[in-house]
Amino acid sequence: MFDIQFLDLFQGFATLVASEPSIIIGRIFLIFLGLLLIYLGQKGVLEALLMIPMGLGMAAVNAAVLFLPGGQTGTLFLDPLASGTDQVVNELQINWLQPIYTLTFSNGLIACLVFLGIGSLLDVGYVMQRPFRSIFLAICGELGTLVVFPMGVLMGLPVNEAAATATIGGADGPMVLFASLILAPEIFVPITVVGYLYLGLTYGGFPYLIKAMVPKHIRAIPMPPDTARPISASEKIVFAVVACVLLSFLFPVAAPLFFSLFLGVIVRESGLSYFYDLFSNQILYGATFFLGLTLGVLCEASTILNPKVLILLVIGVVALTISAIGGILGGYVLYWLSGGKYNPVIGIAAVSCVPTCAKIAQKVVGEANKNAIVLPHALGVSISGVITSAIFAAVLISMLRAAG
Amino acid sequence: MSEAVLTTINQAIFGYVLMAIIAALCAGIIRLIVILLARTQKAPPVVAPPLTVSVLPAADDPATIAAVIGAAVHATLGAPHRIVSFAEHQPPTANWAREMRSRHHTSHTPRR
Repeated sequence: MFDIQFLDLFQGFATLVASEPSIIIGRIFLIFLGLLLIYLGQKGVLEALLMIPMGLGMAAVNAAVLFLPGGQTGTLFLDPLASGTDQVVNELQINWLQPIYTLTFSNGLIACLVFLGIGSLLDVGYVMQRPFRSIFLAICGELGTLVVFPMGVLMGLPVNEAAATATIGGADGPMVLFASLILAPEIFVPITVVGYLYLGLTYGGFPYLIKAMVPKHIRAIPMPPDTARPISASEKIVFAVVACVLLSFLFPVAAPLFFSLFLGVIVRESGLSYFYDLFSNQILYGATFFLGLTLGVLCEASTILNPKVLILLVIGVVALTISAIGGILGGYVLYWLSGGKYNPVIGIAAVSCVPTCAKIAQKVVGEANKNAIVLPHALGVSISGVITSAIFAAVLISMLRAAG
Repeated sequence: MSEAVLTTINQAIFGYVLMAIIAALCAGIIRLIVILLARTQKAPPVVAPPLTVSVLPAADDPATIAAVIGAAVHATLGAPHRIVSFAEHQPPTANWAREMRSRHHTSHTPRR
């Protein structure tokens, strides 16, 4: 008769019992948080495309901790702390998600692939029809990043981590991932997870903010019929090429992001439909799936439990809220300058999060006036928000790297 | 307020202003591109009034139908073409092999 202990048989339970109390609580909390994310994603409260793989990854990885050779605990998903060529190559042959993490996360490839897909969905014609108004609102929508950067330092974060967290104010998930990988690689997981969680909440939360700041008779203002001429595909391509080269020249550190975004735009406008189908479907959704899944798997209790997470949770929500307020205030400026003809709700689209915030603007305006169509204006502002977020992130990265 | 926070406030304001200037520059470039390329745009073509077409043919004359199809081919393709045969339209599902062969032969065409 062989002798076997219960805890040897069920290692997930054994590692839980053998852990410190904080890890035990953390693992159980994260398992339930993962299940909650799946539920909220399935119900449509949070973005299902990200939250379902992220939630299941988070729940499963915290359940599946086992004893590794040498008596340490870990998982067979991935080891984010693997360093050195030998250890990384060993882990690549053991952990099933290690290739995705090692080859697409640490070099920012996954963020660039998502940006490539987003670029192929963007119609820059909306920005080109009214560039100054769109860019002005987008600049106002970066107010959260401006305010939260020093606020993070005030709350005790090092300057690089505060800057990376502040990019949540730009409301672009891939941008937050890219900036935090460069500026604060040691806490990029909690920053990105917090960023994506809050971005998922914008659709439910921002309408309340708009209604609090804009009275119903102003929300109902219809935008005048558009008299701007349609922008041709050639003009969009010329803009994308010039902007890509110029911004890459100014900020080489963010050139992969600019390149990916504008390559997507050019593919869309040049009629290369095989590439367009590939980037806007398989690449975008494949990258989004692995982004969500890997971020969830990275939320293993012993890796993610960090006192800084609480600070990130606070300044993340402050960043997005102030950016939204800034966008609406910018909308009010245009409202006054136009003599009451511009609907200030369009300013919420400056928070970017393409195309969610543009859809929020149309939804809230549509509730106040069924005949008011603001979506083309809002989409122009939202796309401008992507551009200004990328510029601001590039400025912060360049500035902090130059400062050493 | 500590020195570090004051330095960060200065950095944040400098970064924001720099971002705003570059974004405004982008808006100016966009406007310039739109203005410059607008001059190269051709005048919109004159659209002919829509033709009134009866649903049923006036007469079921095969020679007339052949002439009409021939004229349409000449008008759309330009160069001399010869109509080899007329046949009733078959559902594409019946010809899937031919269709796939055709797609395969044209799959290197970058624009569909």
